[in-house]
Amino acid sequence: MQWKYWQVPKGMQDILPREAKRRRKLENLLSDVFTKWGYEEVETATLEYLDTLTLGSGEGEGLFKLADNNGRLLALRADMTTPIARVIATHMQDADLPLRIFYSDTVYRNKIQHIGGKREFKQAGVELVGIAGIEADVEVVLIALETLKQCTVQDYRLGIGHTVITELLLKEAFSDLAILTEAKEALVKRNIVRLEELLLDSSASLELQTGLKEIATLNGGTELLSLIARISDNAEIKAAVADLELLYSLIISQSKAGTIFFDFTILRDFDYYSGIVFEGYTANLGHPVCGGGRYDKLLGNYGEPQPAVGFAIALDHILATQNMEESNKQKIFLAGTYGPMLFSTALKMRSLGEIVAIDLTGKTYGEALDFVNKQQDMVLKWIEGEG
Amino acid sequence: MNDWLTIAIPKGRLGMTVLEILAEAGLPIEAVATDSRTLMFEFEAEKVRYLICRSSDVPTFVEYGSADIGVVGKDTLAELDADVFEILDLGFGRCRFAVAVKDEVAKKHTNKGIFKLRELNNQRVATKFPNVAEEFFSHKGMQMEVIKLHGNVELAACVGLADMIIDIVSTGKTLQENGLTPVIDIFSATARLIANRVSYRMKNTQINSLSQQLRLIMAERNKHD
Repeated sequence: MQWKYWQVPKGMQDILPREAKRRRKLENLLSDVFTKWGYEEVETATLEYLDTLTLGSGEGEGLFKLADNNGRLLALRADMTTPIARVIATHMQDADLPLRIFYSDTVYRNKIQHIGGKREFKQAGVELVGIAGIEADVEVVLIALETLKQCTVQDYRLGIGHTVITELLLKEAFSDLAILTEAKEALVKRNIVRLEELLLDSSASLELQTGLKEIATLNGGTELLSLIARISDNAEIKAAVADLELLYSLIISQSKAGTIFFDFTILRDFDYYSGIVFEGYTANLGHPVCGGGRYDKLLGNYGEPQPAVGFAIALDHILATQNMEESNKQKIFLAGTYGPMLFSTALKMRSLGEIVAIDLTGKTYGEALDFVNKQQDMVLKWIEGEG
Repeated sequence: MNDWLTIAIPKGRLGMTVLEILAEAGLPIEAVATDSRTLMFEFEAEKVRYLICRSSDVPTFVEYGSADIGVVGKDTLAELDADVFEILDLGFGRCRFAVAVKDEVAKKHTNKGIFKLRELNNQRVATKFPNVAEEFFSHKGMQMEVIKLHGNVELAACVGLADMIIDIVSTGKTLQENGLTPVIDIFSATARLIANRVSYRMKNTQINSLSQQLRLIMAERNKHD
């Protein structure tokens, strides 16, 4: 098939000036927020050894793979958290903790998701490494909230779950390993109907059954935590619940009521999460705008184990929700009868903060005016003689 | 706009039943029809909006968040694998997925009352539900050639385009008339209430209370059946 235009592989994208400008602005805004919280930027290698990535992101199914000259398998990073864990284990073993790291980079997934259909997208986010306590979770959640606010996302909410609580509760309800796996899968696939069916058939106490059913369908504040504390005597769950209570009280004092809520069906896609997990939502987007959580076991894969928590935001998602009025600064088109003069005049004007593009084709006044009228946000500055 | 509840309703008979139970739950449905040219119905006072769409499109509208919730058969849902919350089994619109073969094939491969599906490994199967078929056979460890058709799937088995079909069976009459026998049940499907993953969190109270009401209504109905 002969195409009229050159194609790019499915899910890859070209970003044209208008959009590139919005992206750049957003990226700057995000890096500002992260910097103000004391985070420092890192960039990681785009290509990694396949083994390195599969150790973090789980199976390599969703990775773009290619072979090195010596036959070793390479892969494009599918998330930033995994490469950053490797970077920390490699380069920052002796650094003082905690480490506060941010990034804004492109990730690649060799799996076309329904929504967006993209295989290449830009993510920005933070990782806070070296603190196991809930205070670190609070910091990261607060940064996520501030990010949403700064990005002028309208009417946003942040849902918080806890993978340990969810997993332990399921374990209490399902003693049969095969059924436990099925129940987890049902939850991951958001199939509450199936989970309820499995609960009905399980040997779990009626109290546990109804409790879990509520937990699987409700979201809310501390009342949801009380419910969990009521149905489980597990010490680990109780400790996690106490942590979340503290987190809630610390965050709620700084944000509008209803902005954060608990939801224990939130699990996130990556297997490495081992504590709180959260997702940001906004009313006019059908999927989460951002997400993250605690991953205390990931860094140990690459070196010294360290507790860590972080979150990432997909730039495309934010850009899709923003109704940013584009306040474009006017461009000046500098043209005139004496060519060489234009460069030095333009230089002076730029030093005063103007945006100046020079006529390089010797347009007459009429031609220059025609050209400018066809452009957006552009005015003509005409120089006669030697200026 | 954000406090509106947008509900995707499938066209046709299933959609009529959905409207009936929504009305029982106190939602406005006046003049809403699932077979008219009007595709969108809005109730300003109640802040409810209905989208009338093809059954197989309901999960798509919900997944992308154009509708907050919707009702769709589990058969369609299983085939589409949409990323939505499946929150309530409404119990109506029951049908089952089954493997069916020609009567003589059924006889030939049945031993002591058990159909030996495995003897048909590497054969062709025709279906409107290729994903359901792939999933079913891969769980069985069988390799099959799956042929996607858009309707009248029985025909494929009759003329030998395929050795078996996977289709939805409600009464089994169509199969019978075409000389086919259902040999294996895959699963049975009923209508499900589904929700967008963000709407379910942003409008949790609203959606859950409706879901609770529908659950009670369905339980009440089933009692009388």
